[in-house]
Amino acid sequence: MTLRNALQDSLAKNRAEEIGNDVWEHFVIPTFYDKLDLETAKKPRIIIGGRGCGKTMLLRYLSHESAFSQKRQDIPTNVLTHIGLYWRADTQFCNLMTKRSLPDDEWETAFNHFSALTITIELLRSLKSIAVSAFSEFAESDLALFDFKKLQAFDTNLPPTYNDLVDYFESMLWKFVSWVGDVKKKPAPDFLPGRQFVLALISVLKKQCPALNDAIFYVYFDEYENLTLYQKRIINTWLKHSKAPLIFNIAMKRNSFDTKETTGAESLSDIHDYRQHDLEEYLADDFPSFAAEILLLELSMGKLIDQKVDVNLLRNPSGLSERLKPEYREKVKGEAQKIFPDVSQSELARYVITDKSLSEKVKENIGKALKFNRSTLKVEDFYDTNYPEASIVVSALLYRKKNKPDEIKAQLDLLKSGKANNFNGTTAWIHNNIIGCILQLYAPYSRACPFFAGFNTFCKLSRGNIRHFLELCHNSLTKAITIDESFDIPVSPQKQAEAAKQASTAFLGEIKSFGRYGEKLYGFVFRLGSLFDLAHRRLTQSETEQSHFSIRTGDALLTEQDNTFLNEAVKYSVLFVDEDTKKKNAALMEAEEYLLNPIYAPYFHISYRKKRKLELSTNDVICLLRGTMDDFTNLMRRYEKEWRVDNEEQPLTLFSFIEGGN
Amino acid sequence: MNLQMREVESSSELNLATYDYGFIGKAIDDRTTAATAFISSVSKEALQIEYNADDFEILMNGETFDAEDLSNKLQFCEGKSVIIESTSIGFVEIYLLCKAFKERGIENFCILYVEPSTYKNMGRSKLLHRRDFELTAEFPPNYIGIPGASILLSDRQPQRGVFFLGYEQQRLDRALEDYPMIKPGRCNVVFGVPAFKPGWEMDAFANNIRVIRDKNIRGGISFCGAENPKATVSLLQEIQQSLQTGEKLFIAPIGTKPNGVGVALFAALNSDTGLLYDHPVKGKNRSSKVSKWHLYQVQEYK
Amino acid sequence: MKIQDVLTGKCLQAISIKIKTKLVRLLQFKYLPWRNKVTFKVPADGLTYISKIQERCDDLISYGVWEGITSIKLYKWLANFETDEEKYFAACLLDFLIYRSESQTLAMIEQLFTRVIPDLNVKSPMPIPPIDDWISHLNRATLATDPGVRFVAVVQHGDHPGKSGDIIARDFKRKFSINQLLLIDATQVVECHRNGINCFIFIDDFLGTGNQFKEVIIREKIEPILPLIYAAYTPLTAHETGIQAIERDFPSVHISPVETLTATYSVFNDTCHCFIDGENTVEAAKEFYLALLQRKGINQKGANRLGYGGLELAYVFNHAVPDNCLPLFWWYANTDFSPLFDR
Repeated sequence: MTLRNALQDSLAKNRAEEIGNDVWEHFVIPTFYDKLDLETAKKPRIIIGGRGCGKTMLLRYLSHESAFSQKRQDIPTNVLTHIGLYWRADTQFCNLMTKRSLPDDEWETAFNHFSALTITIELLRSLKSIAVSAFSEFAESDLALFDFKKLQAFDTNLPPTYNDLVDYFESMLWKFVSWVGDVKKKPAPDFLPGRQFVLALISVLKKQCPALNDAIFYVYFDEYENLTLYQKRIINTWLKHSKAPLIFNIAMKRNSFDTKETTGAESLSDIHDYRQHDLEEYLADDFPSFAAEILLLELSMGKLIDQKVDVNLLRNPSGLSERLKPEYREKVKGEAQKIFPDVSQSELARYVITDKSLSEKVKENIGKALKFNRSTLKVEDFYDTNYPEASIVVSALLYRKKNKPDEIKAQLDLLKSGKANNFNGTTAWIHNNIIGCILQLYAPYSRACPFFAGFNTFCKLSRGNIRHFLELCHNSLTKAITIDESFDIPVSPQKQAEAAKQASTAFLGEIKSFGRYGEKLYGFVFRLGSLFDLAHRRLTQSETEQSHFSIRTGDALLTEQDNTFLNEAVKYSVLFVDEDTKKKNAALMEAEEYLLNPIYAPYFHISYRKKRKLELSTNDVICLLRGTMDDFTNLMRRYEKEWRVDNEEQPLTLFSFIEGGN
Repeated sequence: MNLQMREVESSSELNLATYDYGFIGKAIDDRTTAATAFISSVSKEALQIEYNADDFEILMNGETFDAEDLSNKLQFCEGKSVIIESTSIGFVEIYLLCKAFKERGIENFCILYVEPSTYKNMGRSKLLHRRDFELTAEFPPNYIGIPGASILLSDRQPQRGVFFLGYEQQRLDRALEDYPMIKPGRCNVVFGVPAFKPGWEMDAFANNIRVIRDKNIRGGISFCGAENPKATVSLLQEIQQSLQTGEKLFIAPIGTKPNGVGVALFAALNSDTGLLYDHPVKGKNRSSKVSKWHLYQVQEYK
Repeated sequence: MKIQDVLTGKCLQAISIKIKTKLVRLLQFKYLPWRNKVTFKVPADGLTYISKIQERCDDLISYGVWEGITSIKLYKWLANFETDEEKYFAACLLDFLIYRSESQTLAMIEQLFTRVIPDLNVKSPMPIPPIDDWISHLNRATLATDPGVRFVAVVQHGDHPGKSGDIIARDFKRKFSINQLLLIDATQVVECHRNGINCFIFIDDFLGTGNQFKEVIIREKIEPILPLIYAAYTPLTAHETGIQAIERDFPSVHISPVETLTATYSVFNDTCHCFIDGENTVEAAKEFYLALLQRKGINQKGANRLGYGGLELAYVFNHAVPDNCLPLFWWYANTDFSPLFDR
């Protein structure tokens, strides 16, 4: 196997399916694990997370196959207080359970029956998992002792023994599936009364087996968002009535909890009925050390680097205390940074000044700006290789009406003589403008800007998404493979930046698969990204690094469909809502700030930092969401004029990101 | 089942006798306009048929009814000559019609397909988006079961998936992302080779290979002619023969329409085959200009 | 009046076009340096494009779509290219390359039997009894009576085994179980005809200029009997140049390939999109390519630098590389250059 293949196996493939349902040996305990409060809390959980945040792996870890893994030697005695039953709904099948000349109430009964079948099968399987595990108080021989005659009150054909019951339920499930496929021709089965049946089963189990006395079953229902409305109500009802020994939990993408109604009069209430856990938020809070651990673990398991982390520590909840210590976190981050060194602002400036084309561009920009000011001062008055950062920001400053060339030169002289000045003093000319100016310099070149390089940068670009992070690392390391099949580490910033752009391009393409509105989201992101790119090319850099926007009122109003679309964008993490502004302005969707997912920043050559906001009117937002090509072109032209964007150096047309005509 | 296929440069070369009934869809671009007009000209009666995926209903000549009732509604076709215009109607309509014909004992019928000359390219930043195509638009697609061909995707039951792939990577990506119960180790992907034009297959390769790699799909890569339903049927028969005991087959016809025709013909005869489909609604003017005309003559369909 | 105008005007009318072109190029690039040189550049996004294409090719190989090529071979070929411009040029070619693995080739042969030949039989009926399904009808196990047709591998007497036509014939036999008696080589055509066979389908993988087919027809003395037989030539892939040549030289032969390559598939043709990226022109790409060949020690001469017959193709089978392909893909004579494909 080549190094390239080994690297791909390690970092680029989704191996969750290959691992199967027992993820005990593979799961890395996330550092937010304690926040889930799994040991003690009896309230149902709503687990929120999108693709790449590890939600499925977590749910599989919580399920019985992992908890009672045969590879687990040491099973605590209280483990039965949490027996996880994972149910990933096949929503394309569930969607069939509507209409088709059957009344709604019949479908509701059918769905309850389907739920009972699925949960029962999983529950019965969990008993087998417990029996064959190292858990000493319940063995396979105990399975044979169960007598399920009492359940014949629900169905006289139910076999009384464990193995026969399992077979019977599986057969019932496939009969049900067959009926759903052809409701008009096949006879309807006798329906079980959903939750009631499951509770009855649990009751029988507990009565007959003292070891199961404390058993509490937690159903984890995944992919909630794609159910039909009535199905969601049924699941909500199960959630509302959750209490030991059967607690219902649901997992979904962000912004998918669109109904809190139940089949009864009372709706779900988030204070009383459940606790919400947003995995992406938890991850974002504390991402770098976790990301570093995953990276180092994957690379060492693939035998691509020496072991830098203790596998046992990562796989054991008891290891969390050690892992949360500051020294440990700094250590793992440090190891990751050795592979992907970050680039400081001053280093970025130095790259520019030592590069022939880029430094010429800096001088050219200064020259143009001086000409714009009709100044008699020369480029050499402002360009000094000993002061690269200042040299770079000068042209932007010169374009600003309030700055006179003489004044800027005077400040530069102060900087050079070590006195207080506007470049690095409180006015912070360098700090406020350097990144915007550097991005602008790199824009016409085929090389990616090293602003997108570095372990910490990768963490920011990924924003809590492990998958994104690993892809950035994978692409970078692939570029660092040498002729003699080894890694050229540390990976150069240039290679990292190129890798970031490549990953960004690929993830952009994935937007098309984001649910029903995927293709529209794709088009929207291109328009928004183009607008941000345009904003970054302002000659004055007066509003620098605009990569997020808010919506202020305009003549037009956003329709319900527009808001649904924005909701979808948030659901799929194409946009993030700034939590601070969300809390302050809970009632007003229009006051919220939306951040474009930073993973797309390298593609559009824009900043991934949250600096200045772009305020868009509702009219502009509507244009981005659903305007025609002409509407959008006009919008871009308007902003181009307003922002005095330099178009001379554009290697492609300004609208090169955008589709060529509808 | 016997399948004869003909390819001609223009409809005038087909020299068809008049059919009693022709089933057509909407004319939304050059090809469908030409195709539906042609069917109308060679049929005594042209019936417009459309399937609503959300309501599981068929709209046929102004009447709406459950898709499962189509066979009953087509009693009038027994003993008559029928032709299906497959360019303008969707995969599900073709499948339901084949199923209805089988149930009604209609063993001989024809299917017409008009090949595109080009597909509409996005024209974006050309270099990185050369292989972006705009095919589906307006109404968001969704994977929804089809009555009569349903499948409960499950990693508990042995299942084998066959994905016929086209240019849009997001269709495969969505299926595997939204349904992780599908085992990539037991998934076949099929590419249309030869494609409508040499080199077009690279659009499908390039746009899907990343998903194939990301999901580690390793049940086999197959190829069959992009406009060859007979090769499609042969391939499916071969895969069916290789199924393990108790293994259920499902097919995702998310590639070319002729592949879809082959899938429909196969699935309607093999009722235990599941279908996984996302019901895209075609964008307007998505494929410009008519290229070749294909006539597929189905005989002894039982 | 500019010097060029004089030189390209009346004074050059008497000189052949070839010399004229050479003179103009010399003037453009050597003696008139003030005139803008068209150079091949890496466009913006070019480096990302290179990575994207390399990654794609790697994946296509790993997952068997490009079965028959190895990653090692790919990367050794890519290592031939040093500058960004060379790498970008190579990426463009890889993006444009049509590679037919063994499985894809079999799919094409299936297409031949299920679509191309039956369609040909309808358009230009063969003097044989009707055949519903060619594959099952000609099956070696079940064939009872002579169907009156023979498949002829386009190889010459004395050609070594392993020529493409042979390989296709072998696939007919092994994968499609076509009765071996129906497969002959060109040396047997005349005799078969004497024995009453009047229908011959010539099979091959690739028709480029048509010269090989012509040589076979003439050398095996098939040309005189062409007016007496039904002859079809059904290569898997054909270039329109070859189709036109055969139509001209042997108008009674029915040509029906599975895939047809037009001028658009010649990489330096105006209509080809291989190098169209908003920055470069085909002329610049071509100039760059010719200089690249020199730098890499690929010593093809004249039009053969663009592939035999100047066809400029990027179309390859797993079992054979047509020599009409750019030698940049297959050049073996320089040990410092690693080819992507072996001829």
